[in-house]
Amino acid sequence: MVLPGPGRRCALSLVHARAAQAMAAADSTSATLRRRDLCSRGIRLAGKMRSDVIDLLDTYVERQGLDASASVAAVEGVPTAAVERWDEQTGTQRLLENLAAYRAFRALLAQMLEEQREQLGEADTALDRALAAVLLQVSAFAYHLEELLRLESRGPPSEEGAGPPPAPHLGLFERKLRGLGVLRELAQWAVRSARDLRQLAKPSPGSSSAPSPAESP
Amino acid sequence: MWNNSSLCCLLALAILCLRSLIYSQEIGSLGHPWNFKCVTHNLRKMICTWDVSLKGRHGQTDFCYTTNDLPPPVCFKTKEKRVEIPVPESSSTVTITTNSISGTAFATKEFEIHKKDISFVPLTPHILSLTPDFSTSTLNLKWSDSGSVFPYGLDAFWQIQILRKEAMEKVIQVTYYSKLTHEDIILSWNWTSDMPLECTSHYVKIRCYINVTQFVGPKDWSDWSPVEEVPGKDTEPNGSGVFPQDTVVAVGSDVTICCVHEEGQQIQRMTYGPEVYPMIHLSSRSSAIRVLNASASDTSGTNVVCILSEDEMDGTVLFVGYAPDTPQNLSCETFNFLIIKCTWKPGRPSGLYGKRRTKYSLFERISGKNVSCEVNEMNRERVCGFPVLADQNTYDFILGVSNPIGQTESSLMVDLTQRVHPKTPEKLTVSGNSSTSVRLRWFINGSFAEIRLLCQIEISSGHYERKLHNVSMPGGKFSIYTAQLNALHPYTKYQFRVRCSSADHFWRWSDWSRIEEHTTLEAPPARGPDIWRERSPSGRSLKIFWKPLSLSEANGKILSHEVSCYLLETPLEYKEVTEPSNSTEIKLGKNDCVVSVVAKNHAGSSPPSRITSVELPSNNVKTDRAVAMGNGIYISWNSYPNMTCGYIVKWCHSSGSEPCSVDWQKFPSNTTDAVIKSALFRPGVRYSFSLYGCKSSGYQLLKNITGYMKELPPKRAPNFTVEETSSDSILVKWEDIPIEDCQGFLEGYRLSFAKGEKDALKPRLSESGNPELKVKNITDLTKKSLKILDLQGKTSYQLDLQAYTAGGLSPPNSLYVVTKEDSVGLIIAILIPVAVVVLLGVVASIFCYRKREWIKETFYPEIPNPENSKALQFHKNICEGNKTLKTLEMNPCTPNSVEVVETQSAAPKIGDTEMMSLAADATVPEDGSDSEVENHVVVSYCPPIIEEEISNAPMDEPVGSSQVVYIDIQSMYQPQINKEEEPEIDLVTTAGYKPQMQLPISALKIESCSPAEEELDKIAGYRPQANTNVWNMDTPDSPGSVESNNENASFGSPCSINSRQFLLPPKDDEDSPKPSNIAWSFTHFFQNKPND
Repeated sequence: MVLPGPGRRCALSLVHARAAQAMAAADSTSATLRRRDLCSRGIRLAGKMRSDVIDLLDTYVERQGLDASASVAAVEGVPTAAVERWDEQTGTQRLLENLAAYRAFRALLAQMLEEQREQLGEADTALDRALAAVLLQVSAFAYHLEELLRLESRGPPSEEGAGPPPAPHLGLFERKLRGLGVLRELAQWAVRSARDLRQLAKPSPGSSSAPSPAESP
Repeated sequence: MWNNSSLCCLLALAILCLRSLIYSQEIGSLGHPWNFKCVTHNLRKMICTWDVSLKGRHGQTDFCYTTNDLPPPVCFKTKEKRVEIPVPESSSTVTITTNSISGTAFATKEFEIHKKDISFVPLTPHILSLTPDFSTSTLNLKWSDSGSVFPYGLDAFWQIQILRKEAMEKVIQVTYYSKLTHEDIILSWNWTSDMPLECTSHYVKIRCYINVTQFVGPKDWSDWSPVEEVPGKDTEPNGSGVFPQDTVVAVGSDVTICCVHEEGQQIQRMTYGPEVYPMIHLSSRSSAIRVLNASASDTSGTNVVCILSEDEMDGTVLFVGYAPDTPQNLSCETFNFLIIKCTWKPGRPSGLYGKRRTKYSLFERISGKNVSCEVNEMNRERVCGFPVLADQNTYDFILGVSNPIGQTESSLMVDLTQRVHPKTPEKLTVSGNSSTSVRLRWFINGSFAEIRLLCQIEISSGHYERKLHNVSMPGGKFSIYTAQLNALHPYTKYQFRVRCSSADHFWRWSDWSRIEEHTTLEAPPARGPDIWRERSPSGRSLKIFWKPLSLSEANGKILSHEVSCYLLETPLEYKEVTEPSNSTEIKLGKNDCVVSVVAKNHAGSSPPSRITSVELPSNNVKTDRAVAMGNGIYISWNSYPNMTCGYIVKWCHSSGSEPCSVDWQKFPSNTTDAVIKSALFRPGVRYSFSLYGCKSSGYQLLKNITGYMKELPPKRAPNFTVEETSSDSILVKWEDIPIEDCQGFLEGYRLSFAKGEKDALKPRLSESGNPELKVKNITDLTKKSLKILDLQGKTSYQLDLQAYTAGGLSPPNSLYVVTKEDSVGLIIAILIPVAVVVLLGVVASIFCYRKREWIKETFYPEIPNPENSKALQFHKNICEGNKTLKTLEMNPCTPNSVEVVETQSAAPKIGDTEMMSLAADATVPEDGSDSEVENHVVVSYCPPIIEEEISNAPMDEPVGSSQVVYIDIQSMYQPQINKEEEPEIDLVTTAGYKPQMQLPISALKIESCSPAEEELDKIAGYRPQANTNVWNMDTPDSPGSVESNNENASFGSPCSINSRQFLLPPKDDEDSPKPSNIAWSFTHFFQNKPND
């Protein structure tokens, strides 16, 4: 059917508008579904990561001859999971903080792995393997967060300058403690990330909506 | 102590005074120079000093000196009281004139200086540098020996003192020796501190002594140099840490570790590994711990932690390990003449890893080339490669080993041409277009141009023995090598593999190459098949058999056999029989011919095998038995001289329903025995062999032989039947066993028999162990029946029949037979006792009749004579003789007790009636114990005495009017039960033991026990746990009974006060009832047979 003149144009624009609306709605639904899917997978990843990091912590403490109850002061360059006003954070903020943290952890764990190999050679393959496995999970999780950020219509920030500061010259004991601090904080982050993602997965009008205070960690 | 020191002081003072006198002649004179002394530092010039005893100011001093060599004095003016003049050869005269300020001399003094008066004190050494190496806690001290001023070759001693802490505590003082070389040499000395240098400040000072032997004057140490300091971290404003930082020490060493902290902090504790160590105070900001005899640390080192507060800690990691072990089994070889591979075993692990691991380097002394080795720490064997150098065959290797704790080395010299271990041959291929030869090609990755290679080829196949074939060939550079193999078997699947080594100097074989398979081509069969023929029973056809050729003879796959029949070169019959048939039949009629068989494969035909069909007649062919031998059958025959072309043993295998397959074996004519073996032979199967002799004219059957590879017991026993039975014999007949069930040559039968009822559960006779078992062995195989004699009449017998071979007995066949009754014997058995009894009765009657007067006189006199009375004799015996009877003892026998006399003849009657009335009154127990009661009544006698005894007994009262009381064992205890004891009894009965069975109380009822006692019984206090009837052995009042009771062991048995029963039965209770049992047995003797 062909409509004449301006009426046709109007009708066309109406059709277009409806199609666009329908498409937008469809896009929104699929994006929501995708986000939910990514979040739930991310939560599983975080859970697995936490479990592996806890195991690694045990191995690390045992192999490095450290006291498991030793308190480690905050290590420079290690992002802390604790945050003020967590419940007031937007979804994007959460994702950005997570991404920054896991990028830092990726670099720190790579450093630890390298140091481990330098110090112990092939003498402790178990610790080496466990560290490498956690590093891989951290990398995967960082990639996962980047995917989520892309879904938020906000690409992940560039990695330039996002890495940890160059490792200061530390004694071996301090490096052991630093490694302990990194792993402990990573375990905390795994918990926080799971909660952040659970928050993100909740149906909300926009990704930037803040959750209720009661749900803060 | 005090005396000694004061004495020393006085002595020193005296020496000083004396010296003052020598050097200055006038002391105390105004303006006069005194205390003149000279010291040399370099042996060439000396510094002389003096004092002037002038309090005010004075002007210049004129100083003149002369020496023995230089007579004119040297004079000069000086304002100081110190001059430097040459050291004189022997002595020098010095004139010192002091002038006033205006220039007028007011005192002149002359001194003579001898060389021996001049002191030699070296110049104070000066520390050029003191360099700390914190990583190794080492101080490096450098100073100049100033040797240029001294003659060559003097010995110099340097005393170095190390001090520590703020208080400068002396740690060590060492003496360093050097030789002066007339040059200024910078000397260096290292000292390693047992405490990290960071822990606290260290100080060093030095002095020297030069031993100038030709110098006659006094010599002394120089002054100490100024102290040089290496400040500790505790002196730095922000210095802190645990030291040494991440260091490596040897196992067993003593280590000091310190913790330096900032001002205001306190160390809580210091730990080494898991242990807390006591701290050593070094300074206000530094403390240390000392670990003695440190043991090997973990892979990640031992943590030393300094805990300052709960949240603050500092630490270091100490690695404790071993110095490297000397490498063992160093061995070098080349596998391609490009790289030399050296291997060794590292020995004891150092316990150090990562960057502290043991490092290896390979140094070749001839070429001076050095390579560092990258080795895997976790491997037991270490490997290092070294490049092969051009034009160099001999290599002198030194394997250097080092780690932070120490180093060692191991050396090896090798001629590379003698250490060739080629790589595994690759790309092995086999080619060949022949039935007996192949060509092998392979490649070895390596340059072996300088040597010859020895290669070994392994040839194996499923059918032939493995062979090794060695080939020597010139080596090449990354070449392909070839080898030709001949003399292989046709149509055989071979597996080849190759390995190589150096031919001239064998060192090691390479690994085997992978296996390559190749099958050689076919060749015509090597020989014709082994053939045999048999005429059909009708004689009109001939069946020809052949054996398949072995693989080595067939040379390929046999496709068919050509069978032809010739009669004087004229072919009568031709057949081609395809595989797998191994026989054929040709119709000859009555003719004979020569049969020819040829085997054919793809490559061709075999030579023909020939056999004639002629069968020569034979007479009296016997059948022999063969002997089993091992897993074969041994057969033998006589030599037949006219059998020119040998013998043939033919047999037939039959398996199941199929017709038997013919097999044969040929033997040369000088053979007379053979062991025929076949995989088809089975134990227990009878084989029939036919022995043929071969003549040029044909074959002749010589004899038949049967045999077993192994004889087994017959499968079953022969079937047998009982033909006939009588009261004392059985006739048995049996059948033959079929040959296939015999499983061996039958040697006989075994018949076993014994009494026995038919019972399915009974074991076989031979296994029953029956003592009456009888066995009859029948070795005459023709006999098929047997009569068994001497059996008992009307008796069941079990018969077992078995057959046996050399292999053993068959399972038995059993029969049960009952022999017939022997009626004559039975009649005799009844009649004889009856006849005897009758005869005895008659004799007794006759005797009594004839002696009736005597009997009457003796037993029943008109006036009885007590002495003749048996009955009274009886009592007399009781009273006089048997003292052991307690009853009689208790009741002394008095003459007036024999009141029976008054009633005379009535006495027996009364006794009888009383006994009868007793028998009538006695309550018969319902439990069938009447026989015992009957016994009591029948045998008991002597009632008057019993009455007497009973009247005296204290327990008579409750008995009441009863005329007869059974005096049994129980009654003897009756006095024990009196009324005084009744309360006690009550107590017992009410709270006592409860019975486990019903007590038969007939005896007590007969005794008419008191109601109280009856009541007691009813209440059932203690009751015997066994059947008390059994214990009543005999009539208690009979003489025999009394005696038996006396002797009875029941007397010794405990008796219940309540029940009057023996608690334990007599031991001989089985014997006691015997009389009654025997009596019973006698009465039933002819009615009952024994239970056997």
